[in-house]
Amino acid sequence: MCREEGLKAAHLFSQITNKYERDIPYEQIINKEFNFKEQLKHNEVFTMFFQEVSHTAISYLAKKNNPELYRLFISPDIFDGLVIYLY
Amino acid sequence: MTVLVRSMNKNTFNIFMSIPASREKIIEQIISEMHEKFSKLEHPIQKFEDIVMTFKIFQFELDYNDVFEFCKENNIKYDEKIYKDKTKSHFILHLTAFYEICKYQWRPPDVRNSFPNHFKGFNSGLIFNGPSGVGKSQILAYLHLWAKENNWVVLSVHKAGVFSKDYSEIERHITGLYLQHNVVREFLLEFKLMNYKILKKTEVDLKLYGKSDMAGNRDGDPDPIPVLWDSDREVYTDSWKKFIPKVANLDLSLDYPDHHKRLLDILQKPKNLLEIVNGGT
Repeated sequence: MCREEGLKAAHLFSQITNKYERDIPYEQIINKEFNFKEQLKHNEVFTMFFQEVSHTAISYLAKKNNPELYRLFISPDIFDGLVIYLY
Repeated sequence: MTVLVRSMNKNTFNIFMSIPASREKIIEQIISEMHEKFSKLEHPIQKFEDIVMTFKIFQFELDYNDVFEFCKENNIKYDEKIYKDKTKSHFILHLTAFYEICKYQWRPPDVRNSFPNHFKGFNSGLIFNGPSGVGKSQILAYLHLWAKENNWVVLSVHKAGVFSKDYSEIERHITGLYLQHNVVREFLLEFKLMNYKILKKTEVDLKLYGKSDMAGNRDGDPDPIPVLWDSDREVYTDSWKKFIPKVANLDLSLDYPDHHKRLLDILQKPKNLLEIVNGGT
C-alpha cells in the first residue's frame, strides 16, 4: 500500500500541465469575483493552483541553488509515489 | 503546498497567493524560516507533523503594492473601491488547523476520486461496501461473467460461513493448520463445475507438481505456524502445551497417519488440472 502523500503525488503526475496551459483568471481574482471556496472543490482548479504554487517554490529553489535548501525537501513520500505510479 | 492552496479559501490571502511576485515572497519566507529551524537536523524532515509541531503558525506581511504593480504590467482593470486606503495586510496561517491532514485516512470514495484514469491499483483486491440492496451481489455476478468471458479462473465463495461458523468435521494437522475435508470436497466440486474448460485445457508442469504435503505447505517453505518468542510476555507461542493434561497430550500423527501423506501418493502423473481436482474430490 502507499501513503496518502504518495497517492497524491501519483495523481498529480498524471495531471501535469505546462505553464502556458494553465489559465488563471487574474481579473476575476483581483476584483474578488472568483469564489475560491467553491472553485477549489473542483479537482482541475485545485491542481492548477497547486502546480502554480509548487512551480514558484521549485524555481525559487533553483534560483538560490543552495544544496542545504534542497536537502530540506527530500521527502521519502515522493519516491513512494513514483514507485506506485510505475506499477 | 497542499496547505498553502487549501488556505486560499481565506480572503485577501488568496489574491496574494495567485499573484506571482507576492507568492514568491510568501514561499521565500516559509523556506527561510524552515531552513533556520531544520538546517541543524541530521536527516531531512520525515513527516508533515514535524513542521506543524515546530511552527504552529506562519505570520505574513502582505504588501498591496505587489497587486497594483501586477495590474499595471498586465493591463488588468480593477475596482478601486475595493483597494481604497489599503497598503499592507497581515495574515496568520494556522498550521494546527491542518493537523488532521497528518492523521487522515483514505476511504474508498476518496481513493476513487484521486486515481488517475490509467492507474491499475495495488493488486491488493477490492471491497464492495454499502447498505443492503444497493447491488453489491449484482456487481459481483456481472464480474463473475466478465471474468469467465476473459478466460479467468473464477473462485466463487458464496457460503463464507462454512469456513468459520457452521459445524463441520475439523481436524488439526500436525503443522498446526486445520483441515475441513467435507467442506473442501464440496468446494472443489463447485470449482470444477465453474472452471471445467480451463481446468481441462491447462497442462500440469511435473517439475513443480507434488512438492507439498496434504495441508498445502510447499517443501522448503517456512513453518505455517512457527514457534516464536514473545518478548513482552516472556514465553514461547506454544507454551500453552504445558497446561494440557497428560491424557490429552498425545501425538496427533499416531491417530491420523494420513497427515504424512503427500499429493504424489494419490496422483503421480496428472496430465491436466482437472485430474488433480478429481483426485481431491
